[in-house]
Formats: sequence, structure tokens, C-alpha cells
Amino acid sequence: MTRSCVVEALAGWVPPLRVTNDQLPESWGVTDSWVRSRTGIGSRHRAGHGVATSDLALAAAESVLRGNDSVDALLLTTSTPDHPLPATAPSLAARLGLGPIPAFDVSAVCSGFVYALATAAGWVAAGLAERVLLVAADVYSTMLDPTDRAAGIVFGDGAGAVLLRRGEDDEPGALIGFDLGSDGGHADLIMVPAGGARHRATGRSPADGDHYFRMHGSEVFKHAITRMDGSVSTLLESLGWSVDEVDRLVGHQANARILKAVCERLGLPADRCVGNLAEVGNTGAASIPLALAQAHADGRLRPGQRVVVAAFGGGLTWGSAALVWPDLSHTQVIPHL
Amino acid sequence: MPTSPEAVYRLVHDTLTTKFELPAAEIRPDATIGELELDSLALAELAVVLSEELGVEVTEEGVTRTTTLDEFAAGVARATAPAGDAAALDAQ
Repeated sequence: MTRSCVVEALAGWVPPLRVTNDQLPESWGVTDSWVRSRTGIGSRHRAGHGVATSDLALAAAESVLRGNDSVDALLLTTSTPDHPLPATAPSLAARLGLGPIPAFDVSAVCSGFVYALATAAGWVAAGLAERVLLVAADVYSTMLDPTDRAAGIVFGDGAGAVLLRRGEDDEPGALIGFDLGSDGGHADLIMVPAGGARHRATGRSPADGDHYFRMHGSEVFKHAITRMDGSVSTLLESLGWSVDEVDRLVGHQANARILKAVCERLGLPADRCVGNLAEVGNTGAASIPLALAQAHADGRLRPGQRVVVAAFGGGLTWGSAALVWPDLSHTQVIPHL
Repeated sequence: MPTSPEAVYRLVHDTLTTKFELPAAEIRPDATIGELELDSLALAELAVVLSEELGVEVTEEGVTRTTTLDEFAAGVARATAPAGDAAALDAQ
């Protein structure tokens, strides 16, 4: 019996509040051209007061599910769960009315979507589920230091969702290869220092700012370009695909310069590297499904194209996956974009 | 394998003209990082390229906007040399 995992439907969602570069805090002293030249970002969306990760996840999930869609398992990948405990996925499943299905969170920071795809593929391969709803959502605005210009410029809030089903190896949409990796020796490069057991075990109160997201930009840049390049190269080799045979690379939408460097290192023409960084910024785990949804909606992704997705994030973690783009059961235009 | 400052400079020059597409006329030994508008991410990428080309870890630590390409190349050359040779390079 074939137990391949196939992408059936896809949706993205961003909150309505759009913050352009011109609307960034005056104290940051940045201009639109400065931000665009250094990051490739023109705007980002913010969830706003009282809106949490599961709210964005719910909107994306409702967009991807149609009335009679059944789902056997729900995976949510996020770095900004509604609570440290419990996981956010069961509450999302309940809000969606999916019944007592297995539901759990996958934590791999900005690589979470690729890790969760692999997890879902494993569940399908093991016969644990026929149809899996995978939602990637992050509300980075809830953990940004208001004085951290570098992170504030880059990060936005958003969510993406894919409906996966059991299918055949050779049909479009089948997830036909993965490469995943991690290097915890550099965990400190992307971190929220407080809020977990490591800090609680000290019994000390968190220092000012320890609950905020911290990132060492230059070091992250170095690891991101080498790991994403390496992961995609390994994946292509395992599939027997040449770089020339890749029609589209959809990388984690972190920074245009990371994506440009990855494409250059792979030898992939720039026009095959598609995304929506300029409109939404870095939306964490949501960035790849959001980029896929928008590229599908505007025709940059077409059925039959060979597509590779590649991610890099805190952990450090990285990963890539390949599929032939399917004729999706329904097309989503992302609201507010 | 130790690499001379001159050889490192040539590699930096070639990387800046080909990969970073900077005009060759602007790339002089006394040109500073600031004059060339190389920001932190550009320096990080340059360090990755040099690390891969030279087979040693090259970091941009200590490099500032007023660092010249000559000074940068000399620092990278020191990183390629064993401790004794690095001292000899410093003495040059």
C-alpha cells in the first residue's frame, strides 16, 4: 500500500494591520529605501492587541478546510505558542470543531514548517493518519523588544496552512524528499533567554529584556546561507535532480540577501527563487506556506513545476523538501495582501 | 596553508568585483569598509567566501568602517598562518 503524503490544499493569512517601512518607529531612524536595500522588506503585518497565535492559525486553517473536509491529525508549528503549556494545537483543533483527533505542536523555530511536513509525512507513512492538517503560525510581535530595531524591521505576523492526504508517490503534490538537520552548539544565536525551564531552574528573576527575542544577525546570516545551500544540495542529490531541473525554490522568507546568497551558491537563476518577503517580512514558521500560497495564487507556482522549499531557523535547525507542484483543489488569495 | 596578505587581498578584490559587483576602480588597498558601503551582512558573506576559499575560519570580528582592505587582508592572512608564522607576518 502506498503511503505518500500529498499536498491537497493550501492557504495563507496575515492580520489586517499593515506596517510599512515609513510607519516604523521614528526613533529607529530608518527610511524605506534603507530598509528595502538591507532586507528586501517593504511592509509587515502585525496581529495587534489581544490577538494570539491560535487566532491567526484558526483563520488560516478555516481558509484551507472546506465544510466536509475530514482531518485525522492536526500539527501546529510555532515559536510563539499561546502558552508555555499546554500545546496550542489541541485548542486549535477544538476551535475548528475537529473532534478528539491527535493534535500537537512541532517546535523548530523558522524551520518548523519543513520539520512538520516531514512529521506529517511520517504519520501518513506509518498509517496513523490519512489526512493531516498542518498549520504554521507565529506572532513574533509578541516577543520583540521595542528597542530592537534589527528584529523589529524584519519580523511580521502570519499563518499558513496545508491540508495533506495519503496518496501515490508519483502524483503531483507528493512530498518526495526531505533533508533535515540541526546544530545545537549555536543555540544562543537565536533565542528567547527566559520563559523556559533553564531560566526557571535558576530561581532568579529574569533580567530586563530576557523575555524578548534575541538574534545575532551576522552569525545567523553565515549559518543560514551555508546550511540552506547544503541542505538543498543534499536533497537534490538524493533525488537525482540537477539544479537546472528545479523550477522554483521557495526559501524561508528571512531576508532578501540570505535568499539571494543561497540562490547564487546553488547556481539557481534569481527568477526561480520566489517568495513574498517584500509584502510580509519574516513571519517565522509561517513564511514558507505563506509564500507558497501567494506564489500559487499569482501564478508564479504552476502545476507540474519541480519545487523545493528550504528553511533555516533557531536551534539551529534547517531543512528542505521537494515536490512536483500539484493542481490544488482550491486556490486561496491571502486576505489583506 | 599560510596565505600571504597580497594573495588574500587579490582574493578579496576578486570577490568584491565579481560576487558583490563593486566597480574595480573603487577597490583599492586603502579603501575602507565604510567607503565601500560594506555593511555587517556583506562582511559576513565575505567572511564565508574567504573561509571556504582559504580553508580556515575567517571572521569579521574587529573589522570596523575605518578598516582598510589592506588591513583586512593582513588580518585574514594571519588567520591562515600557524602561530609562529603569524608572528612573522605581524613583524613584516
